[in-house]
Amino acid sequence: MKKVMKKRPTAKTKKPSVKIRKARLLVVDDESDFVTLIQTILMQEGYGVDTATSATQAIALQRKNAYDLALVDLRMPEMTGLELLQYLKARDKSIFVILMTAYGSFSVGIEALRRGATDYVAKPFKNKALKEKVAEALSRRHQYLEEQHSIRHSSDEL
Amino acid sequence: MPYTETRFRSFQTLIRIRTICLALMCCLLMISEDARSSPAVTAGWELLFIGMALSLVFGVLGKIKRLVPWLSPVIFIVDGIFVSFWIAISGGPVSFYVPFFLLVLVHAILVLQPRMAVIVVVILMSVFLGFFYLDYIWNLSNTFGATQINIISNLLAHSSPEIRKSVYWHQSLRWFFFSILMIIVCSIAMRQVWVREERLRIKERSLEQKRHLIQMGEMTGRVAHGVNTPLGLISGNLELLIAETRKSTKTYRRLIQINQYVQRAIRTVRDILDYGRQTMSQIQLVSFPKVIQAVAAAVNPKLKRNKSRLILDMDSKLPEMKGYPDGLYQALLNLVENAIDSIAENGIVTLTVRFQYQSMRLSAGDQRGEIKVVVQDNGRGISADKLSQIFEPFYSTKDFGKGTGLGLAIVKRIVDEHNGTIEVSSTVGVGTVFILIFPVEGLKPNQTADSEDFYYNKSETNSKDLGL
Repeated sequence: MKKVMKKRPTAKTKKPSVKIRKARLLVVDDESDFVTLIQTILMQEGYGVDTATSATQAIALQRKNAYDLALVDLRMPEMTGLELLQYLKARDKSIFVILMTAYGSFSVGIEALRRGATDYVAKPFKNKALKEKVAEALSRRHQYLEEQHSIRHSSDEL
Repeated sequence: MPYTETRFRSFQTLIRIRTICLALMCCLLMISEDARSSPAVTAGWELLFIGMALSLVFGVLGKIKRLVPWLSPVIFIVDGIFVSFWIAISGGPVSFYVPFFLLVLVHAILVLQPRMAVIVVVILMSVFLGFFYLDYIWNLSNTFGATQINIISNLLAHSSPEIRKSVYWHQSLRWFFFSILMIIVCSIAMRQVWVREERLRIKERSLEQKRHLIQMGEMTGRVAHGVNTPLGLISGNLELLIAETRKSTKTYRRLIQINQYVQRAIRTVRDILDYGRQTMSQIQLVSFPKVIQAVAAAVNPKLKRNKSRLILDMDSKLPEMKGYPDGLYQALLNLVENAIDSIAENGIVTLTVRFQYQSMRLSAGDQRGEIKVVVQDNGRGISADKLSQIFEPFYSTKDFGKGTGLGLAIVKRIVDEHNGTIEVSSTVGVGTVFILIFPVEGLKPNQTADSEDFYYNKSETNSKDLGL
C-alpha cells in the first residue's frame, strides 16, 4: 500500500505499467455481494481494492487512503452516484471515477461524463469488459497525470 | 368498429328528435288539411306513416351498437329523399321543410363538427332559397305557403285536366331534382362524418398506445433495478467460477451452458428496457454526426469479428434536430447491428445521412427540411412475406436465443416518436435497405453541427464540454 504511494512520483514519469498494475481502487455499491464480486474480479488483476457499501463509508475511506480510481454505483440510498462522484472529485482532483448503473442508457452515460466521470458501465457487465474499462481508465489517468506534471514542469522552468 | 358510449346515446336522441319532427309534420299537415281538400293534391298521410314506421325500425336497429355508425348516415339520406317526395306528393307548404331542417341541424351537430353542421344547414338553405328564387324568375306555379296551396288547389280544381297534369308533373320534377341535390349534399356531409370518425379512431388508438408505453416505461424502470442487479451477480460469479474450473470437465461444460442462458436473459432484459425507455429522456437538440460516430464506435468490435466494413457517408453540414439522442442512437445502433448480423463475412454496411430543404423557406430565420438516413447492407436479405412483420414486437428471424425480436420494434417506436417514417426494402441474397426520414423544423441558417468533434474520442480526457 505505502509502496504504491512512494512509487507514484517515479512511476508517473517512467514505468506506467507498474503503476497501473498496483493501482488502488475503491468500489462503492449498496449491494454488499456485488461489491465483493467486483473486488474479487479486480483483485485477480492485481489491483488493491477497498470496498464500501454506502456513500458515507466511501467518504470515510477516502479520508484515510488515497485512491486512483473509484467505481461508484449510480443508485444508492444516501447519496446518488453522481453526488458521490462530485464529492470524491472535490477532495482529490486526481481521482478517476467509473459509474456503474443498472439503467444502461446513452443519456445516463453522457450525464456521467458531463459531471466528470471517466466512463460508465452498464450492469450487468462481463468481467472482461469491466477489467478492460478499469485498465483503460487507469491508463488515461496516467496520461493525465503526466500531462499535469509536464505542465507544472514547464511552468517551473519559466 | 369502436363507437363511444356518448355517441351511442346521442344516436338514440337523434331517433327521438326525428319522431318529434315527424309529429310536427303531422300537425302542419292537419293545419293545412282544409286547404288541400281539392282532389288534385294527395295529403301524403301514407308517406308520413311510413316515416313514423321507419323511425321505429331505426330505433330498434339502433339498439345494435355495431350498426349505429352506419345507421346515422342512412337516416340522414333517407330522410332527405323522404321529405322531398312527401312535399312533392302533398304539394304541401314549404314550411314542411322546417322540421326537416331541424332534423338535419340536430343530426349535424350530433355527428359532425359544429362548424360542419352550420355549413350543411347553410348549403341546404341556399339550395332551398335558390329554388324559391328560380320559381319567382320563371314565374312558375308559386307553391309556397298555405295560402298559395289554397289558391293553387282551387286553381287546379277548376282548371282543365291538362293544366292540372302539367303542373303536377312540373312540381314532381322539381322536387325530384331537389332530392337529388339533397342526396349529393348529404353524401358530402357523410364523407365528412366518416373522415372524422376515422381520425378520431386513429387518435384514440395512438393515445391508448402512448398510455401503454408510459406504463411500460415505468414498469421496465422498476424491473431494471430489480432484475439487473441479481443478473449481474449471477453472471459475474459464474464467470469467476468458469475461470476456476478446469476445462474439459463436465462441470465446465455445464457452467458454460448456464452462462449462455444467463447472457440471453441479460440481453432480453436490456432489450425490454430499451423498448420501454422512451419516457425517461427529454427532448433536446441532437447532432446527427455525434450520434452516428457513437454508433460507429459501438459496433466497431462487432465489425472486426465479422470482418465487415461500415462506410459512413454524411453531409458535411447537418442541422441539429429536436429529438431524443438516446433514442436515435439506439435506433441506428439496432439497424446497423442487424445489418452486420445479416452479413456472413466480408460484408459492407453503408450508413448515409443526407439533409434536404423542404419546399420554400417561410422567412429568413425559419426553414424546414428533413434528414434522411439510409442503412444499407449486402447481407442475406428478408423475404417478402416476413417483411411486413419485422416491426412487430417479439418477431425474430434470428436463430433461437440470438435475438429477442424487439430490436426493430424499438426502432419503429423511436422513429414514430420523432414523427419520422421508416421504409424497408429487401431482396433475398442481395441485401436490405432501411430508409428513415426525420422532419426538421425551425432551422436557423447557421444552426449546423460540426461533425469534427467526436463524442467517443478516446484520447479526449476533458469530457465536460462534450455532449449532445
